[in-house]
Amino acid sequence: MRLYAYQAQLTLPASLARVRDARPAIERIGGRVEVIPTEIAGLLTVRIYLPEPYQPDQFLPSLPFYPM
Amino acid sequence: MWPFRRQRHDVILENVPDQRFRRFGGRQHLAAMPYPLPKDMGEINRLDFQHFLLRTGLRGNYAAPVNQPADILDVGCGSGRWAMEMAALFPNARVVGLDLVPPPEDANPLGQGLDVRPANYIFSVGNILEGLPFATGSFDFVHQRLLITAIPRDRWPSVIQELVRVTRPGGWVELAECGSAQDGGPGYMGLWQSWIDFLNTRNVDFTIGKHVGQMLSNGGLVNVQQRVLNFPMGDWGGRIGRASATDCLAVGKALRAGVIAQDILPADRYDALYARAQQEFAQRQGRGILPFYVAFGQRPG
Repeated sequence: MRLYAYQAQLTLPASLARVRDARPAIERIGGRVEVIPTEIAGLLTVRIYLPEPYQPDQFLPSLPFYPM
Repeated sequence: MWPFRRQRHDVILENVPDQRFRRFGGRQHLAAMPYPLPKDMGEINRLDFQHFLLRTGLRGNYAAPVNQPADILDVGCGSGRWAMEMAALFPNARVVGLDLVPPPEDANPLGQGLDVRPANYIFSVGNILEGLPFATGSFDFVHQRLLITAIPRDRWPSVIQELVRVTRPGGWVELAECGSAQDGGPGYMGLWQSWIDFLNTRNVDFTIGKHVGQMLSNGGLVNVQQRVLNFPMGDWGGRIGRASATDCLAVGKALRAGVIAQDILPADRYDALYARAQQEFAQRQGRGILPFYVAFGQRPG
C-alpha cells in the first residue's frame, strides 16, 4: 500500500487537538501521523501519510495540509 | 500575554530536525505550502525593496482612515518592515507582525536605524491558513498585503472571515494585492502569464487581486473602498518604473524553477521571455503597467 505524505505548519492548540483526535481514524485506514518540532517556539510541522483514495480534508477538514 | 491565546503544546511524537524548508531552484522554500516564493535572506531583501517601492507609490503605508489605533496586526509580515514602521508611526499602539517564519531582524538585529525593533512591536508565529492565534476583537487595524500567492482560491473567504473576527467593532481591515500585467510587450506579458499558469497548479488565483474590495464586502465589512494605482514597469516610468521592473525581474528569477518544474514553459522559452522583458523594461517608449489594488473596510460597530 503506497502512502502519500501531506504536511501542515500549525500553531494553534485547537488544531493540534484535532490532529490528536484524528490519529486513530488515520491509523485505522493504514495511515500515520507525525508531529515534528521546529526551531520556532509554538510552531509544529505536522505530517500525515494517507493511502489512496483518502485526502487530508476527510480527517482534518480546513486545516492547511498540502502534498509533500 | 496579550493578545495571544496560545497555550503550551503537548503533542510531540518525534524529535527530528526542522523540516519546514526544502531546497528548490537553489533557494530555500517552505515545504508543502502553496506559497511559491523563497524564504531566505535574498527574499527578505527583495521584500524590503518592494516595501519601499510600495510606500513611495502609495504615498504612505496605509489607506484606511484609522485614527490612533491601539492595536495593529500585520498578517504575513514578511521582513516586518511595514509593522515596524507602523510601530514607529504610532508609538502608543501595540503592533504585532505575524508570519510562519520570523524576520531575520528578530534573530540578528543590526542595532541601528530601522533595524532597531520598536519596543511596541512584537513578532508572532502563525499561519493564516490555519487561523489566527488571537482572541476575537483584538485589533483596531488589521493589514494584509501581497499574500495573493500564499492563499488558495477556495481559502479566501475563510481568511477574510478570520481577519474580520480579530478586528474590533469599528476597526478597519485593509488588503493590498497586485493585479495582472497590462499593456506590456510579449516578454513581460508572457512571463506574467506563466506565473498565472504556475500558481494555478497550486490552486492559487494570481488574478484575484482586483477583487479585494468585493471580498471585504462579502466578509461583512462596511464603508468599503478600493483604490487602484498603476505602477509603470520600466524606464518609461522613471525611478519608480525602474524600481518596479527590478522587483518584477527578481520575482521572475525566483519563480523560474517552479514554472519549469511544472512544465508550464521549457527553460529556454522562459529564459527568452525573461531576456525579452528585460529589453522591454529598458525601452523608454514602453507602456507596461502593473495595477496595485488597495481596499479597506470597517467592521460594523
